[in-house]
Amino acid sequence: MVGDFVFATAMYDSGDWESAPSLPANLIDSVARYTSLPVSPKGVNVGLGTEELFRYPFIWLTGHLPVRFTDQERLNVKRYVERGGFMVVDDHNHDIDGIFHKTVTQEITRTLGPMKAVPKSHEIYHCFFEFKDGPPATSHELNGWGDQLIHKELFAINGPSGRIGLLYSSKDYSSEWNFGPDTKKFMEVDPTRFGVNLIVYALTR
Amino acid sequence: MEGGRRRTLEWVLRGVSLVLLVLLIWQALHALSERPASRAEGSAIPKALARWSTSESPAQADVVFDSATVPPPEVRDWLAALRHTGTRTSWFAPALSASAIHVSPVPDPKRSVRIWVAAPGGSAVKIRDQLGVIDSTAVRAGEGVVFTTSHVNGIVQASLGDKAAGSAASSVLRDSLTVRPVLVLGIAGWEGKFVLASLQEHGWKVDGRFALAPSGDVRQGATTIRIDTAHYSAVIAIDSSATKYARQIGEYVRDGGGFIAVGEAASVGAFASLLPGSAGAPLESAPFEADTLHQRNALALAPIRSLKKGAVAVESRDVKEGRIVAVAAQRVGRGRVLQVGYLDDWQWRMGGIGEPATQYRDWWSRMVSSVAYAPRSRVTSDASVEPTPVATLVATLGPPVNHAATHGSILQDPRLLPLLFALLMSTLFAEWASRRLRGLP
Repeated sequence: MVGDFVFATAMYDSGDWESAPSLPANLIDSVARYTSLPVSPKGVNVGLGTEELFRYPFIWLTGHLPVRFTDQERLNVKRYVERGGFMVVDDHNHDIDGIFHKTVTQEITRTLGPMKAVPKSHEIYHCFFEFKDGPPATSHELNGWGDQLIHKELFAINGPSGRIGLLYSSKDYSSEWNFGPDTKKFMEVDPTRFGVNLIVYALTR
Repeated sequence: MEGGRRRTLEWVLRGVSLVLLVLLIWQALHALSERPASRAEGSAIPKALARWSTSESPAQADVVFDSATVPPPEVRDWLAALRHTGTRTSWFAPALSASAIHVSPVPDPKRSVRIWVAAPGGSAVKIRDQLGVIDSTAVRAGEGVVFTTSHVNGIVQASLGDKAAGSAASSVLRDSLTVRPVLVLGIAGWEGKFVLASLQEHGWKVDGRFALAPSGDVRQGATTIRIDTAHYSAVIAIDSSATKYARQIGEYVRDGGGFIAVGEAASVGAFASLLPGSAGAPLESAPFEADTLHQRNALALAPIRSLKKGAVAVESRDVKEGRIVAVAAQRVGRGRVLQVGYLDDWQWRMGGIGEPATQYRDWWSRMVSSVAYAPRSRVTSDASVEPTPVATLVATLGPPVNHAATHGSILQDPRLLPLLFALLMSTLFAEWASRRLRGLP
């Protein structure tokens, strides 16, 4: 249906873009569960170097392996952010300063300039669910013991008028949220709620 | 020479002498009955005016303004006053081009002043205010030019070509507008997000209410909504979720507020009494093309049909079946309403060609500006300006008269007197000499 929110996953030439196959369905389920937004039941995979990218103002990019954008991908990412798109880049590795982190942050800096830390007061932590301590911790980094010590903040590149255009996370939400939606009923707190905040922020700011 | 011919010549010379004598007497009598005419050009005009008003009192005072500069008001008024003392006055200015300027405020945060200039086709117009040059352009035949700028300082002048600033039509901004925020209502989604973001990026203050969950809406800006002209310059409805405000929006529009219904909101029954037309079956989108207007033509569109009396088409699109309306406008009460048939127009901003974000932002700002409620207040200014300098000159002194083309009979020219006298004397001398050569007294 025209106007429905469609969850898009970025396909890029290098690396393993498809490393979190259950994440889209899980976040779509959360959006439908917690909000009344019209949402497409299926996500799409979109080539980062294609014009189709611009039909999806929210896009998720993840992987474990080194990332090297092609010239077209780099150009598209720059235009995407400048035009008001919202790209989330998440490091799917559990380690510290892994190869995805090193290479993708190099690419982001080369394409869009240096990233800045997102303060805990930012709307992204408060626009729907409340995360007063900033980005929620994941259970994967150092088996859940050290995530908030190592990865205290998310980083961002702002688009027009100071809105976040690219959000970078080393927290491995791609592992944290990469489970079947039915599993949520066994959880005390649904970890994908922060994913809902990301989508609500993208749709309303 | 034969005696008969010489006598004939003498008779001719006598006849010519008689005619010249009559002309001289007629001119002398004419000069006695007429006061002298006087003429001044360029920089000599002020001194001539003083002379004509004191020592001389010419029957006719002719002035030629020899520059492209419209004479200052004191010269104009002095000439007009001279006319009332009984002196006929006329003026001519071969280098003067007519021009006019009007400066008006616009409810737009970035382009809040519009400057209209009328000038002859082909002339180069330069706009300046007291801080310097604002812009310049060439005037196309049959068209005026319109400049927009964020602000102006003091007197605004439109000069033609490279001529001095003093020769320009001039005006000042006499009104200021009070522009209030814009309210965007809809479901959380790309249309509302990009409309709101684009208007904010353009400088508008924007409040947003986006339906998100049964538990509540997402707010941007003010915590409470009061849809009235004291709080909002315009309200934009994105979809059917805005119909819960339909009654307030109706009252707001009739009080003078601006309302834009776009996308789904342009086809819902709750707004039907406000909208200029009804929405037809949607047409699908097409790939974007480079031209700006064609880029909007690529958007999906629910054409606006059955325009009401008084409604006007603002944008149209040519399709196989003919021309269909994409944007329509009408007045409702004291307010203005725009119905925008484009669907998912945010795709233009994200996927258009060239600088689509800028184009989309400007287009939406123009849409809002065209309906915005913005009460005027008078700006006090004692600046002396000439919005229509040549028209003012004509109104004061009458239309220009080209002396060279309209001067009276050459026989009335007093400069002929010496020539006529010399001719008379010559013919009399020739006749006398001829007679003497024949031995006659």
